[in-house]
Amino acid sequence: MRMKDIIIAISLSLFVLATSFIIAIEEHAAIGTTDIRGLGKSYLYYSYNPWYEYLTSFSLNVVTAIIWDYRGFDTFYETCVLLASIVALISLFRGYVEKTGLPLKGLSDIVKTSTKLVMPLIVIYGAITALHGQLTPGGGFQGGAIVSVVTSLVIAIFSLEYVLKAGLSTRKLTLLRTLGVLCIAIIAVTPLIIAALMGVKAYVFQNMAKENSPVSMPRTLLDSSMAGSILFFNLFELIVAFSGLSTALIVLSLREDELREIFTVREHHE
Amino acid sequence: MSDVIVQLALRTSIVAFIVNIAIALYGILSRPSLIKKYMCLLIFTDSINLFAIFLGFRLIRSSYPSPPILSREPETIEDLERFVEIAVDPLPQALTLTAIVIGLATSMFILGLILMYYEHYKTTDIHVGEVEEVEESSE
Amino acid sequence: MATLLLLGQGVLYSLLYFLLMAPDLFITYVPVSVGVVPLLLFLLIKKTERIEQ
Repeated sequence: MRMKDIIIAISLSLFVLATSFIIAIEEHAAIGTTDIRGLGKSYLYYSYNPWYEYLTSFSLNVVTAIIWDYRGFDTFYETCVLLASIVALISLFRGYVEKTGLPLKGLSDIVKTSTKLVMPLIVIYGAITALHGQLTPGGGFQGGAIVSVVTSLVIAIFSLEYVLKAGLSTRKLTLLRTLGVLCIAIIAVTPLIIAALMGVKAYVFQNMAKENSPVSMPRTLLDSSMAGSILFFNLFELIVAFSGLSTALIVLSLREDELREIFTVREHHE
Repeated sequence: MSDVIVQLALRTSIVAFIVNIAIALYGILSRPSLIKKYMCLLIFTDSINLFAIFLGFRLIRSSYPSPPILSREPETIEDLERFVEIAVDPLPQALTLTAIVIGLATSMFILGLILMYYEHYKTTDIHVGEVEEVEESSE
Repeated sequence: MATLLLLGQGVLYSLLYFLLMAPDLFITYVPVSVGVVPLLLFLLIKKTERIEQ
């Protein structure tokens, strides 16, 4: 091994000794306590609380209420970060085309038939997880990740031909994704528009009625509780996550013929 | 007696997390292939996310701690207070969810960059790229 | 190879999320670390490997 590797190993082992001494032996961190901090307790207490109508959000799942109602801005910007990374990936591979008609291989027939049976079930399971985000563990991004497993199965077992023949090109998926982010922004601004028409005050990302403003999104859907705007947010997050991850999978699995045009153009420039 | 065992288990798992982080850092800094660096980065982010949730756990003597989800709508306010006494901290879980999504976004971009590096230098070894840049800058 | 060990590690980490009482994270970590990331890694390794003689 070289000198640099030995120095790195020694300094990292000193780091391990020092940090474990501070945390595990001298107990400067709060680990394994019987009580949690006050902020967490107040989120648990006020998340579904019909006796305190101005502080609650009527959703049984506390983590989903934190993500979409109490800290809605963080999740909106996280969605924008995913959009930025996909735009960067597409602009890195600038100049590719998607060709159908190349010879396709794929695995044997038994695997193909059994995959065709399983794929609609996966789509249904992902949609259920996303739409019941306020009642059970789940939510928008979870459903989107499950549905994008379908794309990865089709790329691995059939080949990229079937994905492109089924009409899913990167241009359509990017369009779908931008529309999804736009719809999330529209729902976040809707209480403001309604309040401006009625003449009262309202907040951005507002879910239920607060002290200063009586504008509120609907509370129940048919007979189970729906936490206002959280249902709509989960639905659009499903569309957004599915199209984003599928775009990345398709771009990183392009074949030699389609990529050859980029590289010949680049070598001309150098 | 069971108190001592529980404390010992907690401290050993914390030391295990920190050793994990150190091994992943060593792998990033001193493996010459780009794909191995990416795999060690994946281990690193996994360990840190798990550590953040581990800090929000709660030890109760009488019963098991419950996940931060209500199973049915509470009828009286005492049900809600009993739930607050038992449930695990929900705030680190929400923050870790955002961290996983952002880690996924970074991973996708890094893989695109590795593909471009391979097509230019015909190898995934970083020393080849360093030698060529030093030669170019000294001309 | 190393990617198979990475897959096994991802499954064990998701099991740890379940044991620490975080069902939301468990449901989101299983498709991410078993379905999306290993496929990207396999595609990349297939493209960047040449048979050295």
